[in-house]
Amino acid sequence: MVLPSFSNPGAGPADAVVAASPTAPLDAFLDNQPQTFYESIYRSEAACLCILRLLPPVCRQIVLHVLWSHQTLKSADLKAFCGMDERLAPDAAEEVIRPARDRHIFLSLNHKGNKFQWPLSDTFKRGLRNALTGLGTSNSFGAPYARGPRDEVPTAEALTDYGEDTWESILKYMVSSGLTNGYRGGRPRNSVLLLLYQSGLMADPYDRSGHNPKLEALTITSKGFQFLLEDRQTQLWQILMYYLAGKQARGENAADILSLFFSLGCMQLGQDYSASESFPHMENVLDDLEQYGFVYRTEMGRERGQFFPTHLSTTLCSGESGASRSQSADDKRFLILETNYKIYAYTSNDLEIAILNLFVNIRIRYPNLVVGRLDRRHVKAAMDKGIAAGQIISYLNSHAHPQMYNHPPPILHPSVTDQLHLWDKERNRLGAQESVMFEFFSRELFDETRDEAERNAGLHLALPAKKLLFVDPNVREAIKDFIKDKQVQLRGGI
Amino acid sequence: MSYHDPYQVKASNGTLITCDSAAKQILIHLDAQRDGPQKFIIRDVDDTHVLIKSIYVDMVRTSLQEELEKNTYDQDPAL
Repeated sequence: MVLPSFSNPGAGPADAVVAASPTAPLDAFLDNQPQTFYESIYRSEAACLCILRLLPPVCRQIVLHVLWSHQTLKSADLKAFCGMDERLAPDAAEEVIRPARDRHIFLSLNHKGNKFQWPLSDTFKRGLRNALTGLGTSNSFGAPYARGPRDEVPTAEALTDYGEDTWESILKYMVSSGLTNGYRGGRPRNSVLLLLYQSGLMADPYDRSGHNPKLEALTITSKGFQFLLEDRQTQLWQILMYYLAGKQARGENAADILSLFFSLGCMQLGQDYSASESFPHMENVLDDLEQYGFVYRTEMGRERGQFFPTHLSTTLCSGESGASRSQSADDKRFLILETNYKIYAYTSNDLEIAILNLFVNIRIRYPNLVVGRLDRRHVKAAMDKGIAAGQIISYLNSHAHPQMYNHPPPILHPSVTDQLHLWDKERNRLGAQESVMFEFFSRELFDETRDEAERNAGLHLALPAKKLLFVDPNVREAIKDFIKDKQVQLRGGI
Repeated sequence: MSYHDPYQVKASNGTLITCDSAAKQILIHLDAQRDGPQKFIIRDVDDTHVLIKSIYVDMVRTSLQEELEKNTYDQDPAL
């Protein structure tokens, strides 16, 4: 009997994704860029500052340490600074500044005489120095709009509400598209839907060819469900990266657009900026971002090139994921889960209720409280849509009411999390892989073929006791040829 | 090639199913209820593996789910 293992449920792949930093989509994009890309984004001071903020603290400290120095960073200095063994190889010391190396802030290790050193990128150095001293002429922190005395200015709260409403209406549309009698109001713009379609978050189930989807008929995919359960900042970066990838595919310069995101991330909530001066020739990107709620414009402002960043933009690069949450931390913590699977959700937010409705059997709904229960039928229905147990658990965990923290950890009772994992296991009890079975009589031939299959990375299963071998169909011909050669050799040997 | 050739190798195509042993017993039971070409098991490999015909994979999945559903009990919603 093979028992499922729950000893380390946090190690599942779904959990790993959820636990990643909110800027993971951005990091994945940046990791694949060449040095020339960095040279061009570091021309924007705002980008330098944001990239610096995304580094881990030790790395950030080291960059700031050498920023104003005339000396380059020597490996001996770095080792002394971090209290490492001075006999350590420079390559090993480099691991400390690896994140900065990956972002091409430090260039590759070189040596003068017997001294190893990492030079700081000149463009980055200039950019960050300008960012800190307020020099520089690139307007990357945004050029304030010259406002007339009678122009109306929305308050910070109004901007936050606007951003929140616009963003949530997109998410609500996604959630409700999966329901038969869901809410159908407030359809997002076609360009938004197209992006959701292209990124695979939504799909048209009736579109067999996969080429001309009906935008009205899009429904959410399993990837889309996973997206919904992510925290806000991860979602924002993910959408921005999909947008960037789309633009890039159309041959536009990704570096300019990314610099624009970083600039928005450094702007101030409640301040208005001039589109033409802040982002020359990039007004169309602002038009697109407006549809997601990243910027707000009045009717007049649109004509004159005035725009207000909302909190969705201004918290993009704040580094602290906690501070960037649109709702205050307390607002997010509304769920009480009892050991009898009952859920009490103190919320009146339609989006949260719609998300809960995906896997909770909602029984009672009061103005500020929803009572429901995690039952097998609803959880399994959610799992059929592609939501994994790990995602439900991490959603419940991150939204747990402060009251839940009064118990000894873990926050969610193991009986509930184990049951969720069991339901998940129940769903995929069968693992299936196309395979070719080889039956052998000769132990010698079996052993050699097994090693050959392993070398070809096509071995599924080997049972030495029964002399059975299962290999991937892709390597079948290669293995057959190998066996034929061996047979000739072995028979010749008799 | 004679039957007594010690280096003879037999190859067969199929889909290797990996599962727990309880599920495997259900699969064997399902297979036993079928006749002739409808049978799907090619080889009962070991406790947790079984090789089946590839065209039956989806059918096997659904019939296993059905079989499992027969043995699950929901709490009475009225309670």
